[in-house]
Amino acid sequence: MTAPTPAAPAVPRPGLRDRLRRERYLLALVLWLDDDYPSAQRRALVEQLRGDLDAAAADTSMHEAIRSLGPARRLAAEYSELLDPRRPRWGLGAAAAAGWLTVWLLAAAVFASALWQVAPAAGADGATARLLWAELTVVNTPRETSVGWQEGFPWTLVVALAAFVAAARPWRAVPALRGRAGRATGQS
Amino acid sequence: MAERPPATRDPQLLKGVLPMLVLALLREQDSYGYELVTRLRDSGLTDVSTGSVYPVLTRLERDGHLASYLVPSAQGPARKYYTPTDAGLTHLSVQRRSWQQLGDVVAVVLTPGPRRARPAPEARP
Repeated sequence: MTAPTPAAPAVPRPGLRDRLRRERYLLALVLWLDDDYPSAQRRALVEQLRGDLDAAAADTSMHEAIRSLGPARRLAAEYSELLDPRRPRWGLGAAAAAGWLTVWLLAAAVFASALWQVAPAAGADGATARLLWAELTVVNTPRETSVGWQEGFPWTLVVALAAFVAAARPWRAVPALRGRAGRATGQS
Repeated sequence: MAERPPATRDPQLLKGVLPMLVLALLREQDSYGYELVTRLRDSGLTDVSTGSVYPVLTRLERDGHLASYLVPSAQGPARKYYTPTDAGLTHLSVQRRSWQQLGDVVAVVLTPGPRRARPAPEARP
């Protein structure tokens, strides 16, 4: 029969150096955790480990307590594995959208630099060319230097949104739409 | 606690039985993470690391085999105590039976029997 616990034992507060060690480890753990690790669980985990590290340090030392937890990266990976693999991947979606926007901006920059070379010959109207759905105009004269950008329909943002949706799979936020696959994580 | 020589264990072997041992210890008394580690060590698992126990606790809680509650500490943050649920206790019974059956099989296989001579190869025509 389980005996209830009346109160948690008090442990001495670690010194400044040990607190810094502890926080450095916990920060590394948080950084290695999956982007989609729920923030409430993340905070609870950090709080739990903070108290338990202090208790372990009172028995041995903060160095030994941290060593016994193992590398922050490995511990974070074990915690991340416990997440439902069928969850929405917001972080992955944001990365996909940001990746697309970065590629698009780089392509536009390269395209504009090529137009820059021929713009002086085009005079005051500048050199104009289309890059997919966007129209770039580069003016490079002694009196004016400018780069113009026109996009009728915001296809760039539409593609970014599509990349986000494809990678994040937001429909998984609705439990009924998560598919029938069981949890891939090990059952104890 | 009886003094035992430190043994080198296969981490995978320990990983397989750790959830069962955690449930068994928590059935006796609710504990917070580090306290549970010390209890495991006092039971003879001197080489168990805290890093291997915490994910097990989280997984058991996620699967509904453990519940947790916070107990304020006189100093520092509140402690997260774990207690087995009814489903956890049922799970422990099943695991214990499976473990005993497996142990019986292992004991039979590991018991040395008389060594039989290798059969002679058949002569080819």
